[in-house]
Amino acid sequence: MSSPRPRRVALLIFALLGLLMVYAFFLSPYGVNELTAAGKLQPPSWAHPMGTDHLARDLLTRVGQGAGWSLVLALGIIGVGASLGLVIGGPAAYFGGPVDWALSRLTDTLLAFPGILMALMLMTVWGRGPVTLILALGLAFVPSFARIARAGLQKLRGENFIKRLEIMDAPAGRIIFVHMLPLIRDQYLNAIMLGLANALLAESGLSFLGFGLQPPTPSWGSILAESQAYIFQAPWYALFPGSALVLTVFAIYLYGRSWQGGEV
Amino acid sequence: MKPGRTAREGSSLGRAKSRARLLAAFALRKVRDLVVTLALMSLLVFFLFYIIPGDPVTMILGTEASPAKRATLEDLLGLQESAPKRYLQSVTGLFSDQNPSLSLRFQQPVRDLIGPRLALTCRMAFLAFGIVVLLVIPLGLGLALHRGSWLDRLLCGLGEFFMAVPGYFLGLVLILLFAFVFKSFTPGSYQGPETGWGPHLASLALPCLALALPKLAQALLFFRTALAEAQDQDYVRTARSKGASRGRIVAFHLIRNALLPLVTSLGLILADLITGSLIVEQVFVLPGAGRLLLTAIEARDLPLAQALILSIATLVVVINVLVDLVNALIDPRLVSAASQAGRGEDAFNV
Repeated sequence: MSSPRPRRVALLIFALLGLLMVYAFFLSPYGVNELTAAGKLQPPSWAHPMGTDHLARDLLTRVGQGAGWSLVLALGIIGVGASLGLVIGGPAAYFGGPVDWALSRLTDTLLAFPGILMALMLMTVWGRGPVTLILALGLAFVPSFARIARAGLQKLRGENFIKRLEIMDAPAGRIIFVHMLPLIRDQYLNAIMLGLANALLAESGLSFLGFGLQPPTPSWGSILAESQAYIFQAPWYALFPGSALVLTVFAIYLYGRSWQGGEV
Repeated sequence: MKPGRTAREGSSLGRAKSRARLLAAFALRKVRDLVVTLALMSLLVFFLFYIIPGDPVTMILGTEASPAKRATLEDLLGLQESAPKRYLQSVTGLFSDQNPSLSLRFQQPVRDLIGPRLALTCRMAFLAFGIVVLLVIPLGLGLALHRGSWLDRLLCGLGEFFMAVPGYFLGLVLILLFAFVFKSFTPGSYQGPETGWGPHLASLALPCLALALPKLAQALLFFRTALAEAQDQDYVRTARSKGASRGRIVAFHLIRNALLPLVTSLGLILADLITGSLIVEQVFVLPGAGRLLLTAIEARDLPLAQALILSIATLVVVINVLVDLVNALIDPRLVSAASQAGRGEDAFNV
């Protein structure tokens, strides 16, 4: 059903992104925080394909390393969200009854709470920084993952092989995570894929507000935040990191959809 | 696949009556859930702000503050009271006249600070929502009726692309576009409502557009899929074979069935628009709730931050419940059946 074209476009964007990161981390003649001789806010040129920023740093190197940091943060967020989601959704589906009721009320309350707001609240209390950002946004993703895990695992609950395992006295944790989990793997990976795109968007939003990595380490959101003051003098300063973010999220959406076999 | 209408039983009057009763029970259940959720949420916020940090005074003033300063702040935060009393105060302080919660930074009741800011954020969110709702139904119908045409493919591709664009970046691009191409937007030209509604709304046009476009794309793709699914159903073929006109099929069969998923997704979108405008305000330098929240966080103004977060979250939760009620009005199946599962799909809207 699925046409190969969206998939190919997505893979092409991923490849470009990979090249960009390899260049920025290993090949670039400029350091990520090096003040180059080209001068401040220079337009794109052969020496600086994306121009330079307000401190005369090479923007291509910064956008490329920003890609790395943004992806690391997004992966961390999804790692926290997806694993805690399993820890909550698994027992809820397996034990049912009061355990399910309590865990479901907990997820419902958290789900009702807007994620960005939850993250901002946690960061008010914990302070800003990359680790807090990962934990705070990761927690915001937990209820969605918990729901998906619970829904997927619940369908397996009545199967005979589970009853057999119970008769054999297998511990609950082993049944959930070793025997049931692999059966919802594809479904869960798909959710992780979609979640990754949304984590990138959320992370860049919070970094844009100044809650992520602290300068001078670049992430797409923080480069965008720095560029805002120079939007009229140097429009490329904002356009390059922003386009990189949009294309990456777009590619993840496309790839995730082709994975599902064309369904939205 | 959706189940068809349930078998019709009894007289039409009896059915209408039992339907109303079911609806009332459904609404009651939703309101009860709302109260529980709000109570849990306010508790969660209270715990996060005042219990987990251990000592809010040290958190605000740092470890070097003089005892006298610490004592004043303790007094101001009402820390000598018992925890349940402080929790009640943190909620009632939002409304009460006698004993309002005071912002540490601004030395004003938080209610007076939050009111106009949150109103602006809501105005933006609802304007953007209006744009989405006005455009999504005609566009979605047009695309679904001309499935496979070049316009359909173009708009779907564009839609998928725009879903990936964060509102704040779109805001930056729009500012650039209007400034360089149309030479009509000067940044920082926000006009408050006191200067008259015309200029005020005009100054909100770009931020609302930036907020609305990605969400319009999301709603459009969603609605089109729902319509396309409905088009392939047997009841549409039956209606067509019975000679129903195209307009009748669209009006009575397609829209009604595709409306439910649309309303659900629009509800999620409205909640998203409110939190999204918190960030977009930053781009357009608008004095909304988002900027106030950032100021509060920066200044470690716990009462203000806590009150803001609680009011925004309450707003979002109330919107969610209203969406559920609208859904129940549109689709009787929701009320009757034991379909009290989750609302639609699990969207990762953060």
